[in-house]
Amino acid sequence: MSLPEKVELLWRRANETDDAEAFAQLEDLIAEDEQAFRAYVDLMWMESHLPFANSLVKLGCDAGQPVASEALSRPAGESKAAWSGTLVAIAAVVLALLTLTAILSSGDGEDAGSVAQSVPLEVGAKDESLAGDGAEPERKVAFSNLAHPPKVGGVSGGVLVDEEPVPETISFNFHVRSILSENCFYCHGPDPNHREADLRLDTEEGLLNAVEPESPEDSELIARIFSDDQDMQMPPHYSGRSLTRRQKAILSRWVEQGAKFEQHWAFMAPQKPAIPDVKNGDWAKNPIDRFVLAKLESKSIKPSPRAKATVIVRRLHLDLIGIPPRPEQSRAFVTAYQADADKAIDELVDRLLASEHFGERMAMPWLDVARYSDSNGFQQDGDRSQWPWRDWVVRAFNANMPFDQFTIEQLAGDLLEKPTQDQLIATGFNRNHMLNGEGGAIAEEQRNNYVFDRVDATATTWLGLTMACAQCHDHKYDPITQEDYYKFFAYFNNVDEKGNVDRKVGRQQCAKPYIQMPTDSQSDELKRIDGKIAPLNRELADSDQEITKAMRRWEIEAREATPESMGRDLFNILVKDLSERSKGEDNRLKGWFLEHAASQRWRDLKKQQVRLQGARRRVQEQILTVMVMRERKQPRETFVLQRGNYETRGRQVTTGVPSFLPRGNVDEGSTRLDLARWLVSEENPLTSRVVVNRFWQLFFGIGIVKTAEDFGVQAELPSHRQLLDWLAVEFRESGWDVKQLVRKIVTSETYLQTSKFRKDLAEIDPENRLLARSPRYRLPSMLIRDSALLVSGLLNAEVGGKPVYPWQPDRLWKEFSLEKFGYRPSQGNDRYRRGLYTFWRRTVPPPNMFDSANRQTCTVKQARTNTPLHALTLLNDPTFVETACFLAADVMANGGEGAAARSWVQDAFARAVGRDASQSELESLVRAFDQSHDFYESAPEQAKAFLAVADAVAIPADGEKLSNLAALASACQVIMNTDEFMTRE
Amino acid sequence: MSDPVDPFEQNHRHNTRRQFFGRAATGIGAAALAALLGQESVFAGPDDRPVLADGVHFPAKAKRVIYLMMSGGPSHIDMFDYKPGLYQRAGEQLPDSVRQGQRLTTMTSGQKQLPVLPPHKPFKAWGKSQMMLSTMIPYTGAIADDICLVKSMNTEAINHAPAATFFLTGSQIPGRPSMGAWLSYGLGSMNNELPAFVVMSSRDQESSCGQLLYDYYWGSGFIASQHQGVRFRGNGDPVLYLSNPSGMPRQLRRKMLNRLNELNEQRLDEYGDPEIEARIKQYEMAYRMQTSIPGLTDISDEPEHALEMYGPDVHRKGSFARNCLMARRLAEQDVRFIQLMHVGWDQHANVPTQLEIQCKDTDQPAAALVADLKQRGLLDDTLVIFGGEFGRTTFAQGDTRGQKYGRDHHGRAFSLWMAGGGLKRGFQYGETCPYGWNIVDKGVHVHDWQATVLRLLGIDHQLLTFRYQGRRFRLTDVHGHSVEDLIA
Repeated sequence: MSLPEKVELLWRRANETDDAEAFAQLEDLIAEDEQAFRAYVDLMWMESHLPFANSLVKLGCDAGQPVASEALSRPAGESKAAWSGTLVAIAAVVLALLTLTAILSSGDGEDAGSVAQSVPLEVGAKDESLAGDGAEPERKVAFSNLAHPPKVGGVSGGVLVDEEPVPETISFNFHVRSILSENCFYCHGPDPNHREADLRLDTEEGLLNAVEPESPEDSELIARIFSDDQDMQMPPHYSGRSLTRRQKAILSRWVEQGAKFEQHWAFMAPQKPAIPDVKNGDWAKNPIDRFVLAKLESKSIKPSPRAKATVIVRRLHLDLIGIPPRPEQSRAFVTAYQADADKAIDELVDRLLASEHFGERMAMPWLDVARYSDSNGFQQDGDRSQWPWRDWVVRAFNANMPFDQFTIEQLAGDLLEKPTQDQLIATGFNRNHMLNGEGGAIAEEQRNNYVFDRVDATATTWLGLTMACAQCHDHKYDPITQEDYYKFFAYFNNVDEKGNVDRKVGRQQCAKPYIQMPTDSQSDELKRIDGKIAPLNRELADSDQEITKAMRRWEIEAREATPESMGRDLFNILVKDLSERSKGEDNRLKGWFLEHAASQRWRDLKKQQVRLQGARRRVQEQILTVMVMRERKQPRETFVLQRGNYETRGRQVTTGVPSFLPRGNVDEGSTRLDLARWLVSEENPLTSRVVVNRFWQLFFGIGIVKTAEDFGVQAELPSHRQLLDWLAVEFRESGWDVKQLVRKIVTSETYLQTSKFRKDLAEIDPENRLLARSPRYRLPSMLIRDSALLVSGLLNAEVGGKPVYPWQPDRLWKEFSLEKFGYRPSQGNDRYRRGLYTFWRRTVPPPNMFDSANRQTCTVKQARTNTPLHALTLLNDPTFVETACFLAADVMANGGEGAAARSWVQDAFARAVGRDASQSELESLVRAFDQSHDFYESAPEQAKAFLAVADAVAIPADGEKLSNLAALASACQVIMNTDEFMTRE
Repeated sequence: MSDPVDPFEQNHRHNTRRQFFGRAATGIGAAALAALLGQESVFAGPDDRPVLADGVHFPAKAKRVIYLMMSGGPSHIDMFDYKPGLYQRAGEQLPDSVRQGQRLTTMTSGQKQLPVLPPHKPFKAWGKSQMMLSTMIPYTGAIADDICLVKSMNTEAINHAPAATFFLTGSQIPGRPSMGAWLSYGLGSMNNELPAFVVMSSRDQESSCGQLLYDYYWGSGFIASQHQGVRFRGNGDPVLYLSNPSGMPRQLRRKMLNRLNELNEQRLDEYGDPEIEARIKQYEMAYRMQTSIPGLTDISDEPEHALEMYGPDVHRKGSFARNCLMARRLAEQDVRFIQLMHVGWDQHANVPTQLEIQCKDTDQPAAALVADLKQRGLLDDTLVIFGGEFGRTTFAQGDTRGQKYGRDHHGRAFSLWMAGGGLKRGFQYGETCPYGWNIVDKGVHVHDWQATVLRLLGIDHQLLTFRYQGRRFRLTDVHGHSVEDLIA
């Protein structure tokens, strides 16, 4: 704990809990330690009402009093005697403040305006007198009680002080807005229904009603935030919010400096900034490096050296295709790198960008964003078959589809002229939401929920806006009105859907609109059946008159003696008079008649027809069905829904983009296609930034804007604002070329640095936001499994297709689904497909994929935690035991005759982590082997049992081979549980 | 636009300094609390044990918490808050003057009649304290002199998930650390073989209501994830992947972990990434959990009379009774926070048929837990909490002429009981109006209750904070007062 913190803690303890011991400690501390005393002065200074204190001190100075601000600037070496003079000055300030507070509180609390006006006058009037009698005895008494200084507007407990100094120059965007949005916008923000005193502080106009530029003393906002009077104080005491001293000081200084308003940075179109000059120009490979380096140089931090070639090749493989390099790939790269490093990197990057696994790697985060899943969610959680959409995404990334097209096809592919099947499938993006098939669910309510979800996912994914907040009321922080929300909502409200589940086949449940994608053989089969049914239909139709006649005759008999096999509902039709029957009812009756009571010939025809229809239905049921977007012919009206409730409609709205953003040429009543085009238009300030930020996050662990999900006013500030804008404009100008963007990032020197931690950065930049090294982080769990599969040789790297069911613990699905779903693991090498293809049940996600996004709502950031449960998974999940066994078997098979433990573990290690083990690492591994070998040699049954976890590994009959294999597998487990194995370094 | 003084820098420095201090001591996210109190870290010291004595701001009355979270909203009217006047007013409309515009869930907002529904079964005075409790919960009655009944709980939330989230995390919106995570973070673990925070769940045997349990009910929010609750399953491995694979006995695993540690330490030396250090620790913890957890879940060492206390359900894995017994066993091992989630209290339309069954499922085990802790001398420093996310309405939902009626959600006033952990015993607190609808005296808001729980553990709820996105968060947000009157 720092000294100022200690002082403050003691002061608070003394002050708030009347703790005598703390009191004594504090007194001793500041008596003995000048630093502590300074901290105390500082504390008192900050704790007091700064702007008023300023004016008081000025006056005090005129009256010949020692000045506190002077005291603060005295060097630490001054004698204590000099300090005691300061004490008096501080006492004066503190007391003056007390009095001032009293004046403020005695003002007419009901009329805020008059109080604010009276402040400067009274301050001036009182100041003189106060400054004059700074040495009143009672004040001395008050002050001598050092640890119990008067509580002047003290910050309420729990909300503690900020210890950083107040910036010299205040920027509205970077300092002020966040304070106002956090503390004031709730009542004085964009939401008019919740606006108090008709005052808004989120616009320049509104702010000018509350501040007087350059004159904090005349600014009501400042008066209010410093007020101690419960009726005056802002934020009000009951709001549960309060400003820290630092925040108050920032606001005050901002007013002092002219109260300049700025539009939120992210809502203004990015301009391509000039690439900065740097001293160490040799280091910088591309513009990214110059932006990063400029910032480092300004702080006198040196970037880190390049990572080793073995690390670079592994890093690039993991980042670009999600699986590590095979040893021969690694070796080839190292050789090429030694010959010509840059060329080797370029070639490797080209090769990886061209790999079909590149699309898979890029699809991983996109699936999280798109809340992709193989089940519907909610308690029913029926299966769905949206995987053709998943495959479309992989293909699109692989084909380097420009991101604007990628956007347009997913949001509005159905509205393109003559959309292809692929373009329809692409629109599955906004059908990936959860689907509630519960019996009691109200369809219209659910339908509205789906539209809400589309708004949320679309706004988060492309705009980085938390639109959902404006569903019930105007956004509290961002200038998104409720009307904006429902205008946006209107784009997604015209889908030809009802809100219920339309198609149930077994576990499969899906909702219209959908397309069907029969396989060739299914099409052929349907054609064959149709060919057979057609003549039957014709014959029955041709004979209809005759049949009807026969039926009428039969009806008379049937009413007398009703056939037993006839059901009640048919009987009801039968007894109805012909004129009361609907056409449908009459046809149903006719169907029954034909099948059961007509003459033999017709009966045969009908039976054949029924059989074929059944066959047709069965084929139909098997046809792949993909939910897509399709507009209703008759447009659905959209209303503002009061409090987000679908039943309480407010005024009607048409489509439109949020009013605070430049709308380009998108008019009211525009289509979803117009919206999609607007998102990727030049005018849109958000999309390009939001998207490049997410790519950055993929390669650096943290985005340039850390809150990748929120670029609104509550967003965290960008670490490299200019770099973000440069990347955003470049990306757009390149024609939204994703591979080019990725190439730029991964060939930058910034990316290629070593990820070794540096002591000099530990305190300055523990999160590595400045990028003086490359990040080092644990791989997503999905990729740990993929890596293990690859290294063991088990990986089935097939791209695309139906989801698969790898091994998982028994009964897990049943337990979590109230016994509804059983789990049948896939057979054969389907179990070894990449994690991207594992069946994703929303209520019971794959258990070994820890820290995965929940795939319930749009998620743009992956969790990266570190718990014992992960250790248990990687040590004991049969999936990982199996990969260790296979790696061992493969190494032994390739190690040749007579190879020994040392070369085996060396080989296994190199395959797993892509480098040679050091001497001491090798020692540990050999020992792991030997210790395991000792055990398995004496317990062959155990060796067999261990290897049998991998059911396809051939268990050697020979005793020595058996114990060797089991021991090596055990050592492989060690290797595959190293931090390095599961980490992108 | 210019960035005059590189504001990111300022914020960056501002935010990261704390994180640095948080992580410097142990390499894993540590505690601002420690920093506040002048300690290097709550986790520093041998074996990861907290350096701080328990009771950091006040003398701690309790060391551990067992929270029996009754999900669904148990009816205070039927069980805890005795209102004899309701019998006379049965069937009468709830007066508007009482309802005071209280919003209703969509399930009854359209209902035209709000007829008063008296308690389902009679109440009775129990024990020396003569506490009035329903005859449906006789076992609780038998421990009446040990419990502290708060009848003036209140919450703003009205639907299950937000209300439960509020109780467990202090906010209705998911994403804040849960209470157990706060305690694990603030006080650390007292046991280096078990997680500090364990969660178990059970549901009513009839599966009469369907709340799902979301994992953020025991999440760690923005606090490091090692503080999140570890869920014990009722079947199979109590914790997924807990058992070693066949052919990998524990002794060999130990040796292999030693080798693994050697490799990881070499990497740590080279890379200096504190995450590696954390990984080593987590692997060690995992290893310890492999013996400590099966030891705990194997109840064959429990004498028959001990099992009998908890009722016949104790023999069924995953039952509330079994979980209560497990809770005692975990408390004996000094697990800091034990959270039992029991689903089954949402009697909208089945008070006549389900409520009593529900009481039966939970009454005996919960009371047995208190009695068992008491006889082992553990009740003094263990706080047991029994309560749901809200109570239920005085009026009936549905048609009271048949069997299909019940009560809707009610957050404005409801009851919760606690026992042990330095609380007064045989004590009742707070008062509601004769309808059991409004609080008339000594209201205890959820944040107050949370403040009180922390207070019993020695923590000032205003001082246990975590800085996230530039703001210091705490369990009680910016509210809450500890209810000193409850403390013995």
